[in-house]
Amino acid sequence: MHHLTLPMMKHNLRKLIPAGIAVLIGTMFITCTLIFSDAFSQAMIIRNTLSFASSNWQLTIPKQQTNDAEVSLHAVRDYKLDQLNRIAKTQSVAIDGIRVDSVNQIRIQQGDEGYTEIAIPTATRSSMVPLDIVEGHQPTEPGQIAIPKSTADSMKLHIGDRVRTTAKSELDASELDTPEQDVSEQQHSETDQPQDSVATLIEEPLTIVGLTHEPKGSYIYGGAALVTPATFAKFMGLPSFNDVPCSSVFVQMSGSEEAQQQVAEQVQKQLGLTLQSRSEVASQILKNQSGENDAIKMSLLSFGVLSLFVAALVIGNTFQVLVAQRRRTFALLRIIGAQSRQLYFQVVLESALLGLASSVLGVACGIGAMALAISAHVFGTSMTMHVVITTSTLITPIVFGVLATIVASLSAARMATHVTPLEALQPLDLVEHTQRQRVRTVFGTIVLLAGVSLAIWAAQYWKTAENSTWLLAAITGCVLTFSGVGITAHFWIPQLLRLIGKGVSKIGPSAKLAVANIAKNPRRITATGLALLIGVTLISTIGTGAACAKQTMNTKLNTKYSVDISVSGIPNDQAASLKQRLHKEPGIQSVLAAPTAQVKVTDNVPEAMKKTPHGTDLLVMGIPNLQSLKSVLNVTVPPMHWDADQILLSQLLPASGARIQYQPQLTIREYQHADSSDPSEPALTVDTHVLNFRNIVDTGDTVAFVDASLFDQQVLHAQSTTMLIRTDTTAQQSESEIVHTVSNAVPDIPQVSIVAPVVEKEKWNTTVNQVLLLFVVLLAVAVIIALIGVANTLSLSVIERTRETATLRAIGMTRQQVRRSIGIEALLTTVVSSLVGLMLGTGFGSLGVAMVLGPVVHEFTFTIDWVGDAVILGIAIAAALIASISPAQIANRVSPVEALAVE
Amino acid sequence: MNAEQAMQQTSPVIEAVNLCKTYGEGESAVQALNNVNVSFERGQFTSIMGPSGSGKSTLMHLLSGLDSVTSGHVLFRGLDLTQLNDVSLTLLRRQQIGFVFQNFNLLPMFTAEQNILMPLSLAGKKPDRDWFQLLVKTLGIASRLSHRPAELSGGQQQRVAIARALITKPDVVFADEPTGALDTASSREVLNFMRRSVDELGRTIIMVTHDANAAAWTDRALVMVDGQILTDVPRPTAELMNDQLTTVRR
Repeated sequence: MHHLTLPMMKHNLRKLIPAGIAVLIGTMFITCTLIFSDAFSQAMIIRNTLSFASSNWQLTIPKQQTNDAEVSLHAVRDYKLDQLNRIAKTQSVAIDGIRVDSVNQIRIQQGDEGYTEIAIPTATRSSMVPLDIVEGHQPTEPGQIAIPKSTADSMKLHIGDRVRTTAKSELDASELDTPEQDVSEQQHSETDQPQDSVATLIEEPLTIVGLTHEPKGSYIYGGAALVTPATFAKFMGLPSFNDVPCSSVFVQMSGSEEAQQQVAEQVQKQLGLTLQSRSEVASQILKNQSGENDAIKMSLLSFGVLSLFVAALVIGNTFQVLVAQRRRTFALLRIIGAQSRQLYFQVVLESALLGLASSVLGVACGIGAMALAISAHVFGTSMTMHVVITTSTLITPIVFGVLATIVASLSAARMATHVTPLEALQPLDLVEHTQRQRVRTVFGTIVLLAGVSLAIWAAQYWKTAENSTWLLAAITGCVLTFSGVGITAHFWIPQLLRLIGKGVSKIGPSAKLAVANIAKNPRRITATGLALLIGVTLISTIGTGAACAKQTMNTKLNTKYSVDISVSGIPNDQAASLKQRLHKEPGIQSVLAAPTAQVKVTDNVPEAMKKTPHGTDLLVMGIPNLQSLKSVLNVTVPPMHWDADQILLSQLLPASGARIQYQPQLTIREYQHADSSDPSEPALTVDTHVLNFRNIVDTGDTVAFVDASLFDQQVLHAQSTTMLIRTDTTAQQSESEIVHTVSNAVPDIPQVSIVAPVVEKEKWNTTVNQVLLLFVVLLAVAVIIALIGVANTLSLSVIERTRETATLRAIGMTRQQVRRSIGIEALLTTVVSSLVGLMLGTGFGSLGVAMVLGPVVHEFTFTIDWVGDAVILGIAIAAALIASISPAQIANRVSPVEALAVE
Repeated sequence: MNAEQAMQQTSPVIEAVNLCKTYGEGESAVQALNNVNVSFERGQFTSIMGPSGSGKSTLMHLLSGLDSVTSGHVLFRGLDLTQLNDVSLTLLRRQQIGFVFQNFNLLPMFTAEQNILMPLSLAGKKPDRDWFQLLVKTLGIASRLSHRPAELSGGQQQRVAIARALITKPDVVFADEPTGALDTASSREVLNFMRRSVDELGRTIIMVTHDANAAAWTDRALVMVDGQILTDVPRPTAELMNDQLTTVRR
């Protein structure tokens, strides 16, 4: 019977095409996801092993039992490089080069201008340095430096120029995890304060011998400078390069694979050090990164699966209507001898062919779309991505597409087997089997309840790290819920409409007719309503998801990076002029100069502070009023009473991240020295307010704000001034450039330090915006699917309408009334389906975002995009009205006599 | 001719025994057939007549196995149709029973030839080309074989339907108001060809009709009213049948 399939498909092509497009979109999406994920992973590997340059191995010292999140820094000598050499020789492996992975901040100055740069030491083999030399050469002798070309251009420097280079040696001895303590020229306080009171400046005149370029963006400030190891050690205030702290050593070895592997094993055994190959490092990085990458991949894949699910719904709907329409054909086939089994197979085969064709096209489109997106740098230029196609990329979407299509058509196929031969001889009235409907309703309700409970249960675990299973559970819950809603649609859609209809029919005869039509054609109304429901739910899910995601990320970013730029340690006399200078710069929106003093909390000390060493230390900053604080703080300051008796404290203890519970009041006192037990000033009792802000300074001090009048009246004495700066987001300069500007304006004193979390925030913002771009694409996809579904069912209803309308016109209904009645019918169906869809979509979208973002950012902000929802509703209504025009026109065009004639 | 063939030639091809059919339940129950007993011989062109609601279409549906009986039996060449399941009934319709209706006989997406050969396609059998040629020649549609139903006239469509009904050389062909939607000229064509199928090709046709002129082409006419067979008229003429129908309606 299969040779019957193709002619029957061709006959129905127009109706099958929309369903095919839905499958195409679904498979295209899955293809894109798979390609994106593979390309992303590959790009991540490339990016993360950039620091390798030409090295093929990395030597690290395994972490000891420390509680530090940071990698503890070991000195170069701890890497026992001479022993490494010996071991390599025993395995006949040659060590071609060594590069020490260490960084330091230096400042390059020419006259008044100065630029802060990252400096790295050269390697024994120049190809191991992850920088390009665009002019000149790498430093080979002390007294030489290679600086980034961008800095050279900005400062108008050339090869051969001599520049003044300075570096701070603020090394705290506790940063070195070696038994040998390095003594640098600084004062040590016995109680080991995290902040040193004095530091030395090391100056060195250097000649520029080369210009560097770092195109891939591994280092901030756009590049790094190169100095020889001797100079590097000098800048750190260390006697030799062996004392320089570094996080790893890169090695370039040559020899047979097995021999190199042997070296690695011996290094582990004899030296207790870890020597990893490039690929090992890459896979480890991938594993560590996988948290973030997985979230993206999982959410994208979930959307892919979801879109296939939606496509399956559209197909199911389409085939149901198709089979219903083909009942007479099927009945005729049954009369002339087709078995029900043959009809079932016929429908399944048709759907399989449709699924196959659409899926193959979908994969092709997916590959094309990704190639386009990657070449257009849609995913940002920070990583170079290439289209990666594997067999699974090709096969998986097709398999899923065909399976989804077949499964979707099974219920329609079963419907086909229930066609009796007699139906061919009967007029075109479709018989409803109420018994089967009841079973369906019960089944659907069970599915719905199961889905809701699953979703709610999974939602509790939204913050859990190990949550790809919970995400899957949540998605399954949502899918089941929606399936349940869809299966029972034949019950609640007509019921709801009937309820509303009672009121609506009072409007006029057309309305009464519309309501009557709705009641008479529950099947058709359900099909249309369901198509609309699918579309609106999808759109609303994505819209809500995007709104919640953006809001959540914003809140998170603003809390974590509460201030764009902060400069601390500014001498009080220079504060005013610096503030003036900063205000003049474009890219700076507001500046708050806050006198800063170090105090201790002496009374009503919170528990959390008591538990931490130096927990009672507080860095207080004076603000003239709340408005000035609001102008620089990214966190929303709630309205509060503010005067000299108020203090605004941070909610978290920076050292441990513990939440601090404050009493309504506390007392602070200034101390002359950190450990002095005699307070130098009388105690100050203030009313407490709490706000969750972070990263105002990078020293780990707990920060609080008080009224500046306390400083003016000499109640508190400012040790220095802290400048809090908000950047202008509309400025043309990038955040890095603005930070450069600030660092230029700032006086060149060792105590001054600049913290620029805004640069980190920018990077996050860019990522968030890229993901949101993805959401917009998804939205477009959803709109297309929705329109397809609606157009499909509406067009299919035209044929049925022709007879009905003809009858009514024959008994005296005007064309106008027909149009209006069809319009009202469409409107009612749309409003009901859209409202339900919006509710479902809001629920699904927020749950989805909470599950995906939860483990990554540990936060979730729920927002309802009222404007967006209103727009969706408005567009749906407009679309329904427009879509109802065509059937109305067709129905009106046919003369009643023609339409009523028995076929 | 051997004994079996002889028996086949003389025994009725279809027999209705105490046939009853009721639609609906309780108060709204309608008795469509009320204890009908009738048999049909091979090689005969029979018409079943009667006003609307007389049960003639129902009788045809039951005789052909398209619908189930409420009580009684239908013996098709000795086989009790009421005992058969859907699969067997379907096979019967495929191989031994042919159908022609008033409307919608043909599948619009296939050509005339494909429509004619459809029952064989369903069975996966190869057509008997000689028989096919004979049919299309007799029915005068040889030149229209590659056309789709939309391109054929009403009369031509019905003739294609008849060819389809006959392609499997069925034991009996049921025709339900085959000329109902046709004008006089086309009706004549169709009836003529049905007559020739019976006379020249040895077929058995049972035709339900309300048209006395159509009945005049048949060998035997049954008149039904209110679910029962009233009269059984051999060699009917148009006037005779008209009289019958008028009497019945009174």
